Amino acid sequence: MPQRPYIPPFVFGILALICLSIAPYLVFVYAGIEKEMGLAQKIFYYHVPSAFSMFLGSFLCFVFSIFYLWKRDKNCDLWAACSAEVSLLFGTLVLITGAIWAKPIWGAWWVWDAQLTLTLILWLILAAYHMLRTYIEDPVQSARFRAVLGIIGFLNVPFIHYATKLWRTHHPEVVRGEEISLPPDMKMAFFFCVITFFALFFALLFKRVSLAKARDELESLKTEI
Amino acid sequence: MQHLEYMTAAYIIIWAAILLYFLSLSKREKAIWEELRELRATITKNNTP
Repeated sequence: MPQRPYIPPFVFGILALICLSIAPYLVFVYAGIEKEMGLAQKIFYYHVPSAFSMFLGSFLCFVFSIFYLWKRDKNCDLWAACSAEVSLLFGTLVLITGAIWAKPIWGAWWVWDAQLTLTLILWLILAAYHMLRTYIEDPVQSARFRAVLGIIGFLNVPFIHYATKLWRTHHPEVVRGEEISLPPDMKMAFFFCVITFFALFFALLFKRVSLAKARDELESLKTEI
Repeated sequence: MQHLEYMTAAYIIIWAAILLYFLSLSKREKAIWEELRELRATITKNNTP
């Protein structure tokens, strides 16, 4: 009888909880307040790691989608779908927190800037991926369509990352090449938040995979009966 | 405390969204495992001579 796969979500969950209890101290106490943007700049500590987590999810979806098209392994489709769902969550947070930051700094919730628009396109692709899973009844056809969409979605990520170099944008450039243009205290808080969000991403991903596997098992048991 | 309200709103939304997603996963997982347990018990009962 298969057991509940507790260990990975538990380990990443504990790691995320530890990081989450330290991160607020680094963000609100250790890192200084930026002179021009004031407290709105602190949104950046969770906004950018959310974007990195969205990219990570899209990357995993891309890899598992390629493997699915190559091997036709149902497990690869399951991992790709779970990665896309968690990526969609972080993508939603990126768009919302970005708008909240933009209002006091740019004076508008949204501008049709290259980086913002490309991020919105990636979010729409991830949303479409989720809808395909829900609405196409044939599981094989749905998995094939989604795999193609998962690959297309990730191809958008390098354009989002390099948008500030490729086009004239309003968006601030935090990562310049391999350098982070921040004072040491802010850099430390930023890197810690990136680790925290990655731990959180994997904790949620493993939990989502565990749920999907349990649902598959339930479906196959029902079919047997 | 310039832009405190924007920072607070952003942090509340982030934590609320992550917490709600986590709770929704836990709730769905619990329901599925409960159903699986019942189904296995039924199968075992039916297979017992």
